[in-house]
Amino acid sequence: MRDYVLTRLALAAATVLGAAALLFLVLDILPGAGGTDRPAWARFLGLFIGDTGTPNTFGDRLAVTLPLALLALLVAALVGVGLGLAAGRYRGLVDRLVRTAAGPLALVPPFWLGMLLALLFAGLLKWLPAGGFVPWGDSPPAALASLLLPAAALGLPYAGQLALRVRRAFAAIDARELSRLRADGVAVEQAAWQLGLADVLTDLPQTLGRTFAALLIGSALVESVFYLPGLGRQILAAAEQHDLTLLRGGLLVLVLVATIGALLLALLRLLTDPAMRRELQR
Amino acid sequence: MTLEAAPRRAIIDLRVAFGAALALLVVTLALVSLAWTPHGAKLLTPLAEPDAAHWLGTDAIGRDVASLLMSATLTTLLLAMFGTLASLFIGVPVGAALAILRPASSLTTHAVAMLPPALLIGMVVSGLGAPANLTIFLGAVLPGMVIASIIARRALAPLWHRDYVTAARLAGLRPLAAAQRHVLPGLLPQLAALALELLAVSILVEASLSFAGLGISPPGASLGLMLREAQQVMAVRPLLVLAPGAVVLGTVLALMLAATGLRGVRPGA
Repeated sequence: MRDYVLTRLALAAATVLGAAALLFLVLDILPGAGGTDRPAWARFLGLFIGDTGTPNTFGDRLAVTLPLALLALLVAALVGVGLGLAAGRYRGLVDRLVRTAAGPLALVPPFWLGMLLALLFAGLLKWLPAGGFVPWGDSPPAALASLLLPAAALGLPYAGQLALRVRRAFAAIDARELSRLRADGVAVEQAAWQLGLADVLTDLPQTLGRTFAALLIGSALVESVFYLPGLGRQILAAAEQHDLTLLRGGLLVLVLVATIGALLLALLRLLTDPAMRRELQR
Repeated sequence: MTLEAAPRRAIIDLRVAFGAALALLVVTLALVSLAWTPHGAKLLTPLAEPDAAHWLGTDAIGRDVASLLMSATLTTLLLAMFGTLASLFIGVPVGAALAILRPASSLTTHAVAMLPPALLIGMVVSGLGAPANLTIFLGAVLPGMVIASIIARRALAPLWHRDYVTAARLAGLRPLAAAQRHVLPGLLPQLAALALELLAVSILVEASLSFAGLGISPPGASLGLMLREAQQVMAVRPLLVLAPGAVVLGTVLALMLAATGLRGVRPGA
């Protein structure tokens, strides 16, 4: 257990430091990148606190992007894990349906899915706004409503990936483990379910962590589709205008939040993995 | 101890046949655009409805969408192909070396995992003012070669340490000859599958980066750029969003289907 926690912490720290060093090297030190008048170490340390030398709106932008990524994670986890578990519980027809649907779903570009959802639910049915964002301060329900379609567009492809991963845990059950449980008198379907579920619970926290990081990064494209004033869209604009100060600041905030989120989710394994939970209770 | 026999040749897999046929159709249409498209680059009435002569109508500046779609597909396919070849060229030798030196590995991955890093790389490279082709190339290659090495390692490690390879080497066959005779036949379909998967995800990389404004820009034409341009007029002409997206998704699914068949995964597993 201690090894797992320490490894996760070390990897997260290495990711953030590595990303900061790389961004600083490529977007600040290298010729043509144009540093400012402040000393290099001040600019490097400033990266970590979102200080870009000029006023920026990373905080406001994150207030759109982070809820969007969390909602998308909820969609991905509920739909993906749900479908995967259903496939594991009811092998046969349900399993085949889930596999046939989840495979293609995992490959749909989220931004295109967003356009389709906007056409259907905003254009045709007029249930939800097609774009734009009502600030949280004005009306929290309206803010949430403007994030629903983007979150579905972003989360559903990852739900497909998660469903495939969860059902694979059930498909790849060790035959010897199964025989051992059956020798203990457990019925074959019950035994397969127990073994698969144990695998899923051990693996899921880290998978969800990686999914969160991917969702946060991928939110940039979906924000463009729905005209959301998020961090990702600001980074895309900075890249287009070659505003390197804003670009490296925004990217590091993105990497920082993605890494912290992934770390926290990965640490959930302390609760879901029976072996680690026992160790924790002692 | 029982020795495992070398695998028999598999019969043609339906998934490979169907996926390859669909992908070849797309490639052929894209290549034909070099010599002929229905209406060339003529500027017609903007945003015209589809009719008998213009199957998909015209876009916001009056280009025939069917013609544009053919040449845009060619750009996307070429960029994806170069990215895939470079990923394989670097990734597979590294993966092979790792498989022979350190066969035990629990590292697994899927080609789709290269999309988020590709977007980050695209943001940085495009922000530095790199040309579109270089941005998409690096966006596909830098994560692609890592994925290629991980998958190649996992494919090769069990093949190299099989009983029949050991037996052949004990019988006096040199390592390279053993590799060529007993490992390569099993490895080739795996590598072909890897290539198809990388190609499919590289197409997604192009579409995503150009849509984000980091890749191909006007007056070029690519599937991602078509989607970006269609976004403004999406409400009046949904077909401008549906058609390029369907080509992207159709091609990607066809390639992935063929790859699944090549890997020899039984339909139930």
